[in-house]
Amino acid sequence: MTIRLLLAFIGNGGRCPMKSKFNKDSFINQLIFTGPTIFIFSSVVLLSFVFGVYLTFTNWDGISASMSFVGMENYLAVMSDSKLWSSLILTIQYVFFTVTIANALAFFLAYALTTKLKGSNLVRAGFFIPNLIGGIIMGVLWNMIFNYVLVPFGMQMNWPIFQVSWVNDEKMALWALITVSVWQSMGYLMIIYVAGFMSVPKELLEAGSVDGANGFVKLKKIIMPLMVPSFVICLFISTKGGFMVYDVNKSLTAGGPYNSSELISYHIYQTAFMRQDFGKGQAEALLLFLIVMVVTLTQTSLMKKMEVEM
Amino acid sequence: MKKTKALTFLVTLVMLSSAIGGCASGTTTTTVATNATETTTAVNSESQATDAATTPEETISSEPVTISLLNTKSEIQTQLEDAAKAFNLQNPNITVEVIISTGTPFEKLTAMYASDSAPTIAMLDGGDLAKIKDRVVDLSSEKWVSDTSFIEECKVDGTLVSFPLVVEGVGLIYNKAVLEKAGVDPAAITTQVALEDALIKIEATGVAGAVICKEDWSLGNHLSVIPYTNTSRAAADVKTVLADLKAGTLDLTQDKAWNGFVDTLDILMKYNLNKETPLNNDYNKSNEAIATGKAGFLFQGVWAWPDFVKVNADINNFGYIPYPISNDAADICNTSIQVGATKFLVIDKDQNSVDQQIAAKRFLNWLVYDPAGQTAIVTNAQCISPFTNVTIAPENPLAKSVASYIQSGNILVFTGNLCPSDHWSVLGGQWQKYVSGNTDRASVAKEIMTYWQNAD
Repeated sequence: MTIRLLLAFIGNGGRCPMKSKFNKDSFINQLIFTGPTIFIFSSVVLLSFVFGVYLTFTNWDGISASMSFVGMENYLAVMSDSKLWSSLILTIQYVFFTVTIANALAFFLAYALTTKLKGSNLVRAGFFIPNLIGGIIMGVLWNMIFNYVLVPFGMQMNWPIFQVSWVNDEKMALWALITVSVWQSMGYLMIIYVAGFMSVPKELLEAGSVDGANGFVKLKKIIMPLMVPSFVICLFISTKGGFMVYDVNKSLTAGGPYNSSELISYHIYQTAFMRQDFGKGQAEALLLFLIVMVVTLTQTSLMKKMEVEM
Repeated sequence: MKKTKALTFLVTLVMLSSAIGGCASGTTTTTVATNATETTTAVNSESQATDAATTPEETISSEPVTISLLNTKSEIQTQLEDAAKAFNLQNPNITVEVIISTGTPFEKLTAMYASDSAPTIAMLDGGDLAKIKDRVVDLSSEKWVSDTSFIEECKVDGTLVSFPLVVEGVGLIYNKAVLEKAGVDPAAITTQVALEDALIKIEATGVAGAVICKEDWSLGNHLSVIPYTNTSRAAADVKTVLADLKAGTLDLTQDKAWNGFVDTLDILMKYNLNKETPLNNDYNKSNEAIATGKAGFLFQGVWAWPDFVKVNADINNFGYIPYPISNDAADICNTSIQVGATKFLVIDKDQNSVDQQIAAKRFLNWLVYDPAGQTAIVTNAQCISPFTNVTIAPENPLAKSVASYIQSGNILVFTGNLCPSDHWSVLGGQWQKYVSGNTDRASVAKEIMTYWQNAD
């Protein structure tokens, strides 16, 4: 019953289906097009989610044939796990810096590259290529750069900042992660911003020039408000990606040195698979899901209000 | 209109079925080609007879059986694949697929059990056996049980659940050429004082005294447990020490053996290669350093030989000395190295048929009793066999050195097998901090004691 309503709701473009007549033909069409997706979504995402919530109430270690109910014990353990909260704070710092730096750089790159310069397409492609390299390979690559390229370079040039490898230094390991993530995501965000820039109507910009607005004023008063949808998308993608990052963390620092750069996804994986405490790991994963949901919903709804209709 | 609707439906069906088809399980990475036409000269009437003797009642169906072996010892992957092929030549209806896994055995196994594709034979570490005991076959009535002394570590709560694959040792590896140049006799190093002396002499020749491998599993599970092994050569006594740690009755800061161990570590750190950047010495770099003669000593296990061979295949150039923790001749750590069975094969009974289990048992017997099986493990993979009936031994100098320690009885309990599965990742990190000079021994002691008191 709910599935039919859901399908009808989608089919009607988000308006209440009760107001319009129920059309059997269009319902079958909706079922054909959305049915497979809904089926796959329910079986892969929803069912796993429900099973995961069930697991949070057990003490399963991931492989034993037996498990028993432990009620809220896992949640209590999660609340009192200081390592989890320090991982979370570390992740929040990581997300903050990655999102601000990557978006700022991507925005200015996109602004610079929307002029019709001869090489701008090539430059855009060049900046996009890091995004095509998978997270694991990037982590391994940058690990080697930090360890075996920058260290001798720092020794040669006598720059203390590079003399101890960033991935082996407690204070700099987070910055190593931030650098790699910014490098990877910058190109992708830039493409979205370029698309946003392209969608700003030329007439408005020309009208602004006629009224005597210089470049900076045009940017602030015309381009930025019209690009709020791009900002919404980019901020959402980079925030969500930042909270969920695992592959770069694993291959670049492996949580090191000495477990000081364990971001929250890495910590959850360690709890579930290394400490073989699946129930607690699931509880932590659920907590992460709730946090990310709250953060991204808040962010998107706040920014949607800033959207300007032309 | 009707035609378009039918077409739409058909297209959707095709898309859906291709999507589901992509989800089919395909966990195997190598398949062994059956080559039944090849005549096997020595189909080994002996091995057949042995098989018949071991399992007279366990007859396998003549249908082809495929079993999978999860290999978590990545350095012997090709040798295991060759062994699988050789086994298939003698047993044409049994195919063994060897699946490689990097990362811990537990991670891979969890995923495989959850996706209903559990391997028939899984290669586990000692600490994983307790979790899996309900899912595996009881092996107490197998013939090879009486042919090995390394049987206690294969048991969980008195039940024999696993098969010891290899015997390995860890200790201080020395580079003979470097030591000879410095005028150091490795056999004379049985005290801390002698070790420091040796390191100073090596440094005088312009080579780093030692290189410390920074990997957390090495520091955590092999190096840091040395003081516990000083208690006695019996596993039960070492287990008592760990139980004391769990109960909180053992204060490491007051323990003579533990402090002696850390003193020796301080000495090694003083003469460590790259002591400004000690965390740069990962597994590969540290193996390369000692094999090429950039350092005199490295604490590592016998499994490092494949890395050594890549840069220096001189088989007379390396050996083991014990890691001394004091100047007292009564401390067994000063004259012995940790040796033990390290990889354990279990046979799954939950997701594998009876025929597959029998085929797996046959494979294990083949590894022990058939010359081809013995060759695969000892000669090809260069591993020491735990079975007394195996007369061949690996030719590499590290394994030979370990074998000589076994011969003389100067062995310590391989305590890595007795530690919980996260011991190396949690405490290894602390020791990395210590080796890089970012923490002091009192803090490390506190972390160790807290870890054990919270372990279940």
